[in-house]
Amino acid sequence: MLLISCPWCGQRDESEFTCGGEAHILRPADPDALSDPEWADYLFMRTNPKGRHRERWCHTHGCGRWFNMERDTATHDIVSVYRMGEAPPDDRDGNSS
Amino acid sequence: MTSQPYRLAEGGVIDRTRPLTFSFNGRRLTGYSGDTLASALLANGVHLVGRSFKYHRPRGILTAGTEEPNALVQLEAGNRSIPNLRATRIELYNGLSAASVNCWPGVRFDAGALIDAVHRLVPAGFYYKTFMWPQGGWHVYERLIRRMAGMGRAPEGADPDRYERTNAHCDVLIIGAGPAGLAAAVTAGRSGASVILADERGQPGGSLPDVASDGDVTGTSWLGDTIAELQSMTNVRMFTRTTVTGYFDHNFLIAVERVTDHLGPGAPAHLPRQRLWRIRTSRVVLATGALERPLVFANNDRPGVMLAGSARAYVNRFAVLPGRRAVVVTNNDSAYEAALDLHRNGVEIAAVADLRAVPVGPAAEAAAAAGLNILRGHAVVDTNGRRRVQAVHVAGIGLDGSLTGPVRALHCDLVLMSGGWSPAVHLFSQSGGKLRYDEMLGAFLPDGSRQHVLCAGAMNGVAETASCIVQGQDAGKGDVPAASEPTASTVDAHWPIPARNRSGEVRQFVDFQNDVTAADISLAVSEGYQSVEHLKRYTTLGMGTDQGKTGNVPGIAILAGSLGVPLPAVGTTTFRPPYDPVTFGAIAGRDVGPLADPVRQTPMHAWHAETGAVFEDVGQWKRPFYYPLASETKHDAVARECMAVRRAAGIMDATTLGKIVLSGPDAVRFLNRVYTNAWGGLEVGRCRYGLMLGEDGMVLDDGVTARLAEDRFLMTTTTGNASRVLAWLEEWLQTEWPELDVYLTSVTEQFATVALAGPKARAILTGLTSDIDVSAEAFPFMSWRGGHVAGFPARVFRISYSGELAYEISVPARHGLELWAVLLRSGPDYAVTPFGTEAMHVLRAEKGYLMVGQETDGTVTPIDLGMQWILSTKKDFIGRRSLARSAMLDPLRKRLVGLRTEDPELVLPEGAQILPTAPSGPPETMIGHVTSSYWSGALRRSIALALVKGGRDRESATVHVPLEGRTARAEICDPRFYDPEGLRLHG
Amino acid sequence: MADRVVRDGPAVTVTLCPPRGRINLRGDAGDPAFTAGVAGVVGAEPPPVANTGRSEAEAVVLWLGPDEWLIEVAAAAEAETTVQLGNALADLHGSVVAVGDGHVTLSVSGPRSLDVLAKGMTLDLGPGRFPAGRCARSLLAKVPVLLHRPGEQRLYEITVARSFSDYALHWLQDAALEYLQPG
Repeated sequence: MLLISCPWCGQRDESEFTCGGEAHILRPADPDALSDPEWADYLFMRTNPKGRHRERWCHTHGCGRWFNMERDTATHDIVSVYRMGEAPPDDRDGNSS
Repeated sequence: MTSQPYRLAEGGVIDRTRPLTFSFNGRRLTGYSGDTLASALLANGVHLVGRSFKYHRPRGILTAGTEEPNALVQLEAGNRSIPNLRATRIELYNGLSAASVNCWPGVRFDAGALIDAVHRLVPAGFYYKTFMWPQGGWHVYERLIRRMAGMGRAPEGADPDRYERTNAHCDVLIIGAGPAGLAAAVTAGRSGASVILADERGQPGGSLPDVASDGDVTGTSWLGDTIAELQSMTNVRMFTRTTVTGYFDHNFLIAVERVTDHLGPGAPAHLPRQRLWRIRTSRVVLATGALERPLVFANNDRPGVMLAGSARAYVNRFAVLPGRRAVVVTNNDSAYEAALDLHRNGVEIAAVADLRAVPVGPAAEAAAAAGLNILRGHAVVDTNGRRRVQAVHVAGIGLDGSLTGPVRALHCDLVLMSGGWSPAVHLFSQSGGKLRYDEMLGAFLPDGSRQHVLCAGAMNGVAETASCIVQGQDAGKGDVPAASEPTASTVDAHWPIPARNRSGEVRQFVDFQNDVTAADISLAVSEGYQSVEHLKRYTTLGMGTDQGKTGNVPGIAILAGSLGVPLPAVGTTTFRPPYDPVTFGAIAGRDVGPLADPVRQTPMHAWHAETGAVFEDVGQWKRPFYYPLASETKHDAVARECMAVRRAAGIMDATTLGKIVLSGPDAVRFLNRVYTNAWGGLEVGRCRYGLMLGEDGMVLDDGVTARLAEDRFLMTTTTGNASRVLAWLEEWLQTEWPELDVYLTSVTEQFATVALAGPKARAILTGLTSDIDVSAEAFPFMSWRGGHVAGFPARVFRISYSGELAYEISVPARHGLELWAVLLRSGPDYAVTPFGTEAMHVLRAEKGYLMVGQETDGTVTPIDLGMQWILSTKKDFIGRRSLARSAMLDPLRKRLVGLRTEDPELVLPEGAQILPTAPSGPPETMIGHVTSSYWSGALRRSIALALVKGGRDRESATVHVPLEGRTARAEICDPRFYDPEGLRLHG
Repeated sequence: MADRVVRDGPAVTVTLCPPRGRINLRGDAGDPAFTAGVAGVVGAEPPPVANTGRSEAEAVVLWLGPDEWLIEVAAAAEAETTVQLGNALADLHGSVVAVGDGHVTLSVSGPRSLDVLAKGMTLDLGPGRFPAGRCARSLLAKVPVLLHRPGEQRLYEITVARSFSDYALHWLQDAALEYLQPG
């Protein structure tokens, strides 16, 4: 059971959150410009790494806000959380907990 | 009734002023408060307690604690009964009743023991080899095997006891209240941190009462003073009878507190029997101690063969002699302490067989000084005795592990064995901690975790109490314990000890509960099971309820020996939660009966319930399914309700539909993106049906949205998708389109909504409002008006899901019940009939209206449903691009059709498969399935909706629906069965 | 029982609070016109600090999210306050929706109130962790709730959606049982 720091509410139990999968996938501005395979790639294909991963989470049973989280999928360490629209903190070399 | 012949006259931490009576296998016995069932049995000279899992061999009490593999009992009878509890962990209470498991007719004569006589037929993995023929035979064999191998019996009725589950937070969680844990707790407590100290026993102190002979530092004064100081700290909580069983991510741990188990069935009824704790902590200190290991010699499983440290605990803590004449066999110094304590209390020590050629250690020296008969470089190589050990055979053992010299028999009624100690690293390993193998101790030790956890005391391989206390103090401060250099006595590993002869008769047990022997491990290795994880599953080594706490390291050592590799190269199996078995009651807590899951009720619920409505669960909502009159069947009631709506008027509780207020200047832009149709032209006062797709083009939800004001809309969703749709819309607004100026607010619960449907709806509504003009001209279909209905502020929507003239009336929720009552009373001439969701399903199916979740299942597009008309071509919307993918255009996709059965009385089962031709034997060609199917009273025949490949292209074709024992024929038709022109709707 | 509390009344009391008015408010807390507009109507600015509330004579304003608050007023004042707020914020980026009928507030009070709440809540409510004035949306068992501690005393208000109120009340009363029976 993860302990997640909501960017607004602070540390809360994982049961209050919903994971929305990989972050930073933008909806194409002009879907018609995409071929079927390109559209399928946007729709379905995700990286699913073992190790550091950026995901979207929603504090569903708290403030209701979506935010981003960088997390290690193998150790479950949460490297950082940052608000929607913010750039991911580039601490890849600094913080290696 | 003999009175505890093996009880010492004084000593122990039992309360001799509180004698208790109990029964074991029907025999009435006595013990004292402070006893465990095991210590009380031993006090009465009872060693034969159970039968082993596979061979039904007589088994006694091996240990004095959680790690016990043998002494499993069924506690109490009836629905409070719990199977497979360890006698070593059951605190005695007055009137306790327990019985042996896994034996029939009794523990002394057990018919299953015949298996032991033919054990060579059932080696490791025997059921994988033996019962695979004939094909399918396993299903027969399995039942027989399960009966033979079955342990205790689960109760059949509901558990009458209460169980609780609760959450706790702390700065430091300390597990184990022995010297190290107590020292950690008091140190952390003095710093002001919030501390939880959890221990599985009834009193703190850990093993100190087991080893009362220990030196000055641990005199009762330190223990008493420390406990008193902890009790005085308001920031320290001490949980006794609480076993931490699971260590999960982010320092989240699960513990089970046995709140009233020690009181038995007479415990106060309002108290929970057990409480499951979910603990979140910043730091963990593990002071979980160490578990002694058996030695692996021939017939090491007889009752009376016991771990040396456990025998010591019975003498010191419980003042019970586990025997009168003992032989000790050891590979380390610790067993000498047990030998000395037993000797001091009058047990004759026939010999101490030390596997080490040169016994070293203070206890060995003390034993020599006390004149004990020490056999250097000797081993026990066999035992005798059917239901209790009667003699052992000892022989010399060389440095290379081979037997030397003659074999001698020694009579005894007790064997104390020590194979060294394994630190209880289970929770540490669960935390993600790594282990390293220490050659000197012959044990795995903690070696760093990714979580905030520190280890202290015996689990670091430290033996001396004073050192454990120092380590605890360090860990309590948050420092990695200094001087964690292991100081426990060194171990001369001999796994297994050779037997007198090397025939297949040798039974050297490694896993006592699952009857895994050294020979089984060698056999498995020779058959190719060389990974420790494979070995575990093939032989079931360590897979019993004790999870192999005693036999783990010996088993791994024997595996390594068989493979000819060093032990660390083999590694351990993964330690998984739970450390200790957890009852289902504790896991379920109060999530049982009416509290199992939230029940959501509308403001009109009381009326529905009083009227005798049959309810349907829609998500967590209770919705009236139908309202049967006195003797009506479901079919009759639904037909009557449908007919009332078609001929006069009915009302339905529609409160559960999701309602979302959208406000902001960008509301129209937002609606255009999330719905497939266009919203710009919708005037204030009007409403429109909308279809929502996932980005994959599949139908997600539908509903009617009304324009309340220029920049304010009210959206409705289906009942089941209300929260999902709100979350879906919020996700798009927050993550993809934050620039849109739109706010969403759920008002699902703010309003009670009643659907009023039927040809008389307008007349009824006219009589209930003075400020809404309900004439057809002033209030057309797909519009809404605000005003008052029955005196309550109301919004009225003229929309219809039944195909009849219909209104949906929403009032503030507190008026819902009154509105419902007023509508029912609105004139006997109008005969308003309440109708439930099943009638609604029938009415909408007669119209061919889609029901999300019935006609759709996440694989259905609007095109499949024949709803191209709702797909705007002038804008983008979520899912639009996916509809243009080539696969979506396949004419052979399943599409919505109507089905008319040849036999008009036959109502097809929903989900039935549809074939293009009469069935001719498998494999059949299936072209679709029935999605909705009802009896239509209005049409006096059955109707069905279906998804069929090719859809309406097959119109008028006959299809075949295989049913149980026969095949029905049906014709594909227009799904709009009733009033296809919609004249009634617009009336 | 050592932990039985019988000092001044029951160890824990679970009650249903009388109906009250509630208004869901959305808007930009960083916009002074917005905060002033709200304060002008209800007497308190929407608190910008997460999980806090402001209590004034006429209204309590509780933080629900970075752009969302719940305003509690007397039941009779809900309709008029909603209109006034709507007017005050008419030209601003915001939303005002009356939601009083959609919710029910329960209260849990007494020395064992936190023990009852801890059975269903993962929030840390320990000493100093949830002071007076604090509020938080979370889960009680499986029910979404808004928890609010109005003052220093051990009294906690739990606001749930109306449809959950019977279940939540029953759940809390059942959770309190072990502290109420004679030991």
